Amino acid sequence: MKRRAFTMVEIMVAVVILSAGLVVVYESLLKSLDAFQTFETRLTAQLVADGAVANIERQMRSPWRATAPTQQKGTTLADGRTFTWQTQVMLAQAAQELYQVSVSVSWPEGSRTRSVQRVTLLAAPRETAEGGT
Amino acid sequence: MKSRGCSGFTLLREAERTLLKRAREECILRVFDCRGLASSFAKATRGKSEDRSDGSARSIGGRRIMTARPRGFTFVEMMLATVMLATLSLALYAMLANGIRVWQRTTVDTISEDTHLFFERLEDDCANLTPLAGWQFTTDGTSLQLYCVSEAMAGEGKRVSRVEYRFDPQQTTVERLQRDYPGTGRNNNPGRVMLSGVDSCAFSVFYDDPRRRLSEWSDAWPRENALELAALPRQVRVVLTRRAVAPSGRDQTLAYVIPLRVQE
Repeated sequence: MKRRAFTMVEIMVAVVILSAGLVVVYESLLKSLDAFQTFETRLTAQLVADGAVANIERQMRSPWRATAPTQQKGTTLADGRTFTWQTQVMLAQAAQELYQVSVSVSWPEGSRTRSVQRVTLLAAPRETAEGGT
Repeated sequence: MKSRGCSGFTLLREAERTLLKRAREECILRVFDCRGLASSFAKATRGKSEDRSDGSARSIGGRRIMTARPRGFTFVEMMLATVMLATLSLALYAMLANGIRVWQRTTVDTISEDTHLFFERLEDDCANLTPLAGWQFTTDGTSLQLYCVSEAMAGEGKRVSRVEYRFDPQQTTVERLQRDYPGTGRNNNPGRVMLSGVDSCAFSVFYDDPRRRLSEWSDAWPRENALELAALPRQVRVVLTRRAVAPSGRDQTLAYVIPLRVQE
């Protein structure tokens, strides 16, 4: 019965293999965290897009508006992050005063710029504030 | 224990000769083993001069030598081990620090789930306002009251309810209170805490003022000239700041605008 200890080379090889495995696991963990954050920010961008649509709605539904806004740009600070938004309003159907609102929200993430697009229809009511519901 | 007093060289020669003689009589495998024995014996007597000459022999007869004379690590080995350890731990530290930074950025610094749930709930209530909601819709900046169709507290389907969102600066919470209509004994329920650790929560409404012919934000509703205005403001905005959940000190202010629609 012979009892042998590990040699240093064996230990070194074991450490190298173990660390390689650890790095792989850790990298994938970080990648998934990054992906998580990307979609978390997308959710925030959706809130910003909602806000941009609400902004258009405020202007268009106002009984005292002079003209319908066509193109607007702006930035919104949400959750400590600066989002740049751009809205475009087009007349979709003249008879019912139906407008098509396109919103694009973009934000920098690392070296890239990500964006979220939103297209919605908005009806501008013809009645004034006195008769509004 | 071999005696170290007599001449190591002659001892070695003698041992080698006898061992080789015996080996000739035995199988090849044994020869190998015995040679290992011989060379390890040589090492034991001669010192470490030819330490690394034959690794195979050392590994076979290694155990005997260890008991005979304990060997420490060499300086070079220690240096190598230290350098390797330092490099590895540095890499490990950099990796972990990076991981903690990413973790902080992704989980601590982002909007927590309950914020989204709160917005969702508020939007839900605002989308289900009752037709006469304009008469009961009130806000004073820190609380918001509205009548809407909502899931009954007692769990008997939908009911018309009076819902109140209230920000408590002392408790730093935002509560949602619901009273079902018509009132029953079960209506005395406490508010449900929707958010905690809230630094500020401000409600404001956007309305049209026909007298001044303009539209603007107001943090109180109804206005003193409410009867002349449209019954309901057009939009509700809630601005939420939660610094308590962000130890990095990042400004976590978030504004959410909800259009008000009456359920026909």
